[in-house]
Amino acid sequence: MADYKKPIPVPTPETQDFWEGAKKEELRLQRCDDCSAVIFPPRPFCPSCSSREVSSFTASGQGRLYSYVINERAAPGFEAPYAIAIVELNEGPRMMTNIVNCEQTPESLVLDMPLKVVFESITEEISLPKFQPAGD
Amino acid sequence: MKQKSIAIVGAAETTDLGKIPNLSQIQLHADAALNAMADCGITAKDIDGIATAGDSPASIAHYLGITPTWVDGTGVGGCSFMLHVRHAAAAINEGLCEVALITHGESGRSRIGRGGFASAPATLPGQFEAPYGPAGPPSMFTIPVLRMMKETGLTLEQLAMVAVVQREWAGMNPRAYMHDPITVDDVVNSRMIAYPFRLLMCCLVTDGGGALILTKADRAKDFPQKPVYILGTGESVETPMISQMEDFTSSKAFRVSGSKAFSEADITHSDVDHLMIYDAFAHLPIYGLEDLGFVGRGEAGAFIADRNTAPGGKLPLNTNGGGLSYMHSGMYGMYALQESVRQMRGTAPAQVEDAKISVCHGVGGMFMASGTIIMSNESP
Repeated sequence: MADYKKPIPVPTPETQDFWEGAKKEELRLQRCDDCSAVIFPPRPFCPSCSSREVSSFTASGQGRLYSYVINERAAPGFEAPYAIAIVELNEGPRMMTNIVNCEQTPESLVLDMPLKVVFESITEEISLPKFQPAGD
Repeated sequence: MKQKSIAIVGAAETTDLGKIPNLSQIQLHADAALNAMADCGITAKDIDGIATAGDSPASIAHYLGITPTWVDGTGVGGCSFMLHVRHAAAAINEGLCEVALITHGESGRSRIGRGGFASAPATLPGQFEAPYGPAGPPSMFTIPVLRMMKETGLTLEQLAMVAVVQREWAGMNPRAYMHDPITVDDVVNSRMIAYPFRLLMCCLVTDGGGALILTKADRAKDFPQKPVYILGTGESVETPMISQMEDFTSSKAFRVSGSKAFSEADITHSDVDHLMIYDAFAHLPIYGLEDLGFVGRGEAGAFIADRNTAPGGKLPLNTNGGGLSYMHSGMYGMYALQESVRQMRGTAPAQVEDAKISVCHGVGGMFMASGTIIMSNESP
């Protein structure tokens, strides 16, 4: 892990719960206690109704491949080509991710294919949620 | 704002465009500003309002010798200058200043005297996007497009036609960076940058600058150039994270900014003679045409492929060649505004005959922000 050269998230007070969850291999989202909107990225209020009453919950980790590019010009620490993808979670929010255990080709990366979360431990504090094909 | 209460009386780009390794970024601002002052016959002492993005307005004001009573440093990416025009118009009408200067300078290619852009790791983009390897706009701004293609039927060939048509316009413009005609085959066979985007679907990276000078419309006759009146304005922002864009097939910031500008101008789409849509990548004019309401959802690809926006077409679009073929320093919005001014003055290299109304629509960040300025050359 000392050799990890890619950008490493630095949690803030508002995102600490998300990253603590990820370390335990839980994909945590928030839900508004007042209007039930599901919230991501994390924040201690609801962007739909401005309520400050929100609660953390563990999401299913299931979603579908919403969109992507296959990058040929690698960011520092990455090796091209690799897909930068958007997953739409079953709970509604979308997040950026990488698709693992899958060829990084248009033929293998089919929009709307089902995905499930996996966690990659990159430091003692941080595990990154990534996604892989959910299979049948 | 009140229609035609404000005029653009000075407008200019840097003396050179393209590769300018002999000037630092702040001097690109200054070169454009001095050219704009010469264009309308004033000096820095006549200017009491300053706006810029990318660098601090304090840096530019001090460097040029301006003592402003109005300052705007709104920085929301490449459309910041559209927002500056809108804010300057409001400020002048409110009496906050009389003559406002808006400058842009960017050493995008040569990178002389210029800061960096990376997301700090504790920001939301730093935590939730950067770890997955986006390497700047080519692999970020393009992410929604596969979804757009699946949902609306937009094809790769239609995207390629955006670049082909704009190269035709660039071929008529001696200051354009790229001139040689290209075909759809050339575009779809050019080097892969970030699937499905090829090199010729991505903007240039060049050096340059531009500046605008605005004042009250009733003072416009005191200046030598044909005045260009501000008819309507709009602005909005959505999200700094492409992954959090509400609808991958439509920009909320585009829709809000565009409809506000059309409403202020009190015009319909058929009144528009000339259109600029900030084209950092080939999909931007597609989103712009649909979100501004020129065509229906899913129709823009065919609209461009059918040559409606090409030379001789009914809606001339990006007539300088655009960010794809004219120039793109990083924050291109200023050059779109300059081309609208040239078209309204009647001095554009590829002049649209009898053009009276120009719509100039900008994007900032990656679908983060938007600004729309509608101009007219007819007196109030």
